[in-house]
Amino acid sequence: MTGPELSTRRAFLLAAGTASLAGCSELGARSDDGGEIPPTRLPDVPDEGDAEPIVVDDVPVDIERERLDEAAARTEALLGTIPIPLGPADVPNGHVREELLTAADAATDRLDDARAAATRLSAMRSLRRARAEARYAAEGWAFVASGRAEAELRGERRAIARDAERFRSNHAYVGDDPVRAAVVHATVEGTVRRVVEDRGPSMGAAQGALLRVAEWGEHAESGRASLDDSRYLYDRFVDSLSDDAASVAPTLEAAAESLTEDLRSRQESLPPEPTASSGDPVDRLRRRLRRDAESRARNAPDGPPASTVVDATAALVAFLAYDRLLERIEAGERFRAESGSDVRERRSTAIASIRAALEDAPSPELAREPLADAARIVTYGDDELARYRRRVRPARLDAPIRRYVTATLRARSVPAACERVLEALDG
Amino acid sequence: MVPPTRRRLLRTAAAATAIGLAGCNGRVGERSGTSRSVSENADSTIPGGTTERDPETLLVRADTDGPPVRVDGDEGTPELPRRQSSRLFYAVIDTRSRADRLLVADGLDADAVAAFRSSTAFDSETLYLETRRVEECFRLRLCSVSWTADRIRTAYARELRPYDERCAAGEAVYESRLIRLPAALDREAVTSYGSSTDGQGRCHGDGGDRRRDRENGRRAPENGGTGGDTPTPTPAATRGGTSE
Repeated sequence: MTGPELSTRRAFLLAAGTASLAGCSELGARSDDGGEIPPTRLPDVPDEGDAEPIVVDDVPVDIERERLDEAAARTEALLGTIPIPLGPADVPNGHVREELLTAADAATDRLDDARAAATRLSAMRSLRRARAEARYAAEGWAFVASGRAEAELRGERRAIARDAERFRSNHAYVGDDPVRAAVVHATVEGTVRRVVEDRGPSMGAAQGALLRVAEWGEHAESGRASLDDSRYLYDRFVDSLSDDAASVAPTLEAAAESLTEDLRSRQESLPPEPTASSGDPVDRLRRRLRRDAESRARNAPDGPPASTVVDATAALVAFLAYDRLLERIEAGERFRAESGSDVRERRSTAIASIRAALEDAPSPELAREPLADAARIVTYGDDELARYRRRVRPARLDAPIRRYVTATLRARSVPAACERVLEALDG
Repeated sequence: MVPPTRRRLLRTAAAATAIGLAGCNGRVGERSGTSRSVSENADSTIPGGTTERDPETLLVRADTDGPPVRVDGDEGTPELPRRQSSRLFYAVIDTRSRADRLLVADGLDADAVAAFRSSTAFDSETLYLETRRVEECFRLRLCSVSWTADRIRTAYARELRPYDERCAAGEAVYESRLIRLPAALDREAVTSYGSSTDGQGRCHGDGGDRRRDRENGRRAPENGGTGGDTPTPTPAATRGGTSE
């Protein structure tokens, strides 16, 4: 989201900067005096919520344009069932009406996201959301127009979950290249797992019958879309394989086992945590990165083999990032900005590290997910910075600094983590 | 011996509580002093107090400029600051003469209020008047009222009104409730008020979904289109669902 147009924040800061040079504003851009940092010295980030990660998830499967078009058409067909404009004569309760309209708007927004998506996988995910939101609105209206019953939709969702279980039990781990196979199978496993495990919408008890029908409609659609996409990705992948492709299950299982063992020993050899905690940025970073490594190590072995391999990659990244952090703490780094240029530098380092890692990683396919994760963390930091339009005390910038540092440490750890996973897949 | 009714048991419990508190009056008095404490999202019941889950109640719901029912002459009814959407107004009505000062906003069913008032025995009962703001498309269900000699707490569940009742999102109305407490409270002794609301529509101790199904959607297909009428305790004088 760094188009040619100025964000409203940017325009504001530019105007404020001009005013301050004329000597009439507290937003002064001339110096970092008084210890406070003027917003004009901070990185030039998009407005809050507009930051887009520089790397997004992808999957090494050729997703066809037509496939995405079909999902968009399904969304539009669902939206087409709702009378526009939906007024008080259609749904007299204004709150209920607003819920349906909000969902319809969200569906349209997700369609836009899909059109602008950087990868076809993220377009596919946006379209799943679009379908689900559109179905919410459509079923809410169907309750009024044709007496749609919650029981029908619950039944539909149950049938989808049964299909998903059947699909999962028939999942054959075929492949030619074990890395590509691991990433594709993990994507399929993850998508179908949510359909099997996520049995009911999480809704408040007091929503009323219409909105409950809407929720169940959304839930059914989301399950259907996820299962269809899982099947599609799986079939496309299998179709792309050469004739001599064989089962990669033994390879994935052996790698999963070896990586799980590796994570266990890394967890066991973590240095003791300092007991006294002053709550300064060093402590926070250390605590968060350690917790992140520990929880990823704990959770990675829970999934099926391909997911374990992919999750273990992220867990290894987390351990290596933690090691890097400890080295930097040892070297005396404090992780608190002293000037605007400190913040700018941290941010550009994070972005450069992510780009470099995508280039340098021995397997870009394996590297993409942890790098997309790091890129998301940068956008969280950007969102935090975007809130500042006035001079800010350096301590207030601890959170975005922590995000940028975390993203940098993780990105730099990705190539080595991929190396280790490749070794495991090589046997 | 004839088994005592639930109401009688509660009455006895209330009396016991009152006596118990009378025994440590000084300490209570010292702690609360003359100031009043008001809290929102308070605990829904008072430990050691008496709790009624289905008290006799009169609801007046209206889109008025102020509380639709109030006590004439109660200057500056205490209210919670800063929370416009859920302001709490309250009054303890412990005598008939005070009850005679109940005012009902123009255009509302004053007769229902008068009837409710006149059927209250102030030697053994007290009226508690509480007014809450609620979004027009929602309504409050009184889950319980709990009291001791010096404290009153109410607990509500907030529920969405049926989809086919006309209302505007973002607008708010008042719900005034006259709650008949089966105990003779002394207005001067009550120094602490509190109220909590469950935004998920659940009363503590609610059963499964069936009741809510009925209450939230009166045209729920599985319910054959019945049972969606106001769940609030009767008799109810309502002028809800106004204006758009």
